Formats: sequence, C-alpha cells, structure tokens
Amino acid sequence: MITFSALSTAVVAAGGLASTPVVINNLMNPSTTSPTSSFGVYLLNTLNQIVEYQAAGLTFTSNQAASFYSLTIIPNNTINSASTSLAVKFSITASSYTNDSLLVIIFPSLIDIQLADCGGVSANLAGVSCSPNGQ
Amino acid sequence: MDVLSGFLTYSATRSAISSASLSASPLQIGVSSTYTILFTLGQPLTASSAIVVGLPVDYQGRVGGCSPSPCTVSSSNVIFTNVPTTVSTAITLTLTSVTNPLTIGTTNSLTLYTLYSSSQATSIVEYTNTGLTVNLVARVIPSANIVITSTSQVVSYFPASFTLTITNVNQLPANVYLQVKIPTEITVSVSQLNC
Repeated sequence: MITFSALSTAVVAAGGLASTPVVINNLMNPSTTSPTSSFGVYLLNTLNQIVEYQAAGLTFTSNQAASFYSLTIIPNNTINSASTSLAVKFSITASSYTNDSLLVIIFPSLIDIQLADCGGVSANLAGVSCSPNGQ
Repeated sequence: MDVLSGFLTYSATRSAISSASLSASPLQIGVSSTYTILFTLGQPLTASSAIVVGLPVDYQGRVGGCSPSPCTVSSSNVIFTNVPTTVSTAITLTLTSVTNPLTIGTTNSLTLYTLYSSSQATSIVEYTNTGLTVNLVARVIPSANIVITSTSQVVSYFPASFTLTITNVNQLPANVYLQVKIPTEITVSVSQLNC
C-alpha cells in the first residue's frame, strides 16, 4: 500500500481531484501481457475512515512483449534437405518466469518439423518437453 | 358564600414512541437514498392530526419527497397529514430522494412525533428523538472515474511511472489522503520507490 498524505489542505469539490493526478515512479511492469489484478484506490479522512474507494476493475495491461536479452538459433548441419538439430540459446529479460510458461518457436515453412523431437540441455530447462503443432 | 374563581389547568406530558425504526438504502455517503420509518401508533389521533419527521441539521434541505401523501417537505421537517388515527396501527413513512450526509458512521437521529392538531405545533402526543439513525458507509468510486496510465507498456520488469487520475464523486474533506494498493503482478521496489 502506498500512501499519499494530505492531497489538499482544503475541502475538495466533487470531481476536483481529477486536476491533480498522482504519480508513482519506479514500479516494475508485470512480466506478462495478461491484465493484472485490480489496483485499490482508497480516499481517507483524518479519522482514518475510508470515504471513497474502488478495489475492482482497475487493472493494468502491458501490451508490448519484451525482447529476449539474447537469442541464437544454431543448426548442427547446414546441408540442404539433411536432418539437423537446432540449438536454441536465449536469456530472458525478466528475472524469472512463472511455472508452466511456454516457449513457442515458429519455423519457416521450408523447414519440415513433422518428426521433430526436443530436450532441454541447460539445468533450468531439465524438464522441458515439446511437440510439433502444425507446420 | 365564599367563591373561588380562577383557571384550573394542567399540562399533559407527551408519550414516548418506543417502537420506531429507521432503515435506508443505499447507505453510501453522498448518494440519493430512500429512508423508511416504521412505528406503531401508541395514542389515538384525529382526522386533523399530523405526524412530523424532524430533520437534524445534516439532513436539512436534503430531502426530495415523501409518501404516503398528503405530505409536505420543508427544509427542517416532513409533515404527514390525513394519518391513521387508531391505536396500534402500524405506520410506514417514506422519505425519498434523500441525499445522504457526507459523514461516515452513525447519523444524527431523526425526530418523530405526532400532533393532535396539525395546526398546533405544541400539541405533541407522542415523541422520540433517539434511535432513528442509519450507519453510513464509504462511497464507491465508479472504476471509470479512475484512469491508470504507465510510461511503459513493455512487460518484464521495465521500470515505469504510473499515473492515477481520480475523479472523486463526493466533496472530500480537507486533508484527505490517498492509499493505493498495487497489484501483486507489478513489482514495488521499496528502496527505489518515489512518488
């Protein structure tokens, strides 16, 4: 909970607060493009009584995904029409992802993935599994 | 013969109304509300009697209507005439378009009394000035009245400044202060926080 003390030393007319927006700096955006849960906004009098409030429907949505901090895709065989393995190496901007996060790789149509299999190499992807979905 | 001449008068005291109750809906401060008073007539009245609801200061001028008719609203009271006259009659009085006071908690009590004669303000039969209160609660701000914007729309822990523009519904008291609960999906770094 962040508290803004004494927004006005005088009585504020209905609608009057709109002319003095409040700013909160250095917040870190959510780690997904899903809407957040609701902010809560509470106006209190000097007796610590809530006089006006809203605690639902005040969500924020980040609508722009972050770029990978680094990303490489390196094949071990570059001969045309040959079977190859692709090493996908990436690091993420966020410090962590939630459980059950997915990595989706969309291949160019000229690469056949019908028989593709995969496995995690690094320790933090030890439990990875995959399945082709379409072409 | 001795003659004693003079006026032999006495004053009757008014009865207390003990059965009255008050309810209101909605109960948010500053909203237009309907108030309902229920009570049982304890003393008989006549066709020229009246029932009066007295308004404390914080309700004066804030009542828009009343029922059953005939009734009249003034700044300080509401007067019902052509009222039931039989003892033990259950009576319901309604005040409509009442603008609730702006103070949280228990309101000051309305006053309720019956007048034997509507034209005589002192002919009070039954009376109470306690207990006709309601407990008012905070006003809900429509979510459309609160606009939240950010300097960054990018996910994943990019620092951003959030601006909240709040359009309050009621008049607010002096020195009102604001508390904002941040969703758990947005990280607050207490050491870097400023606002």
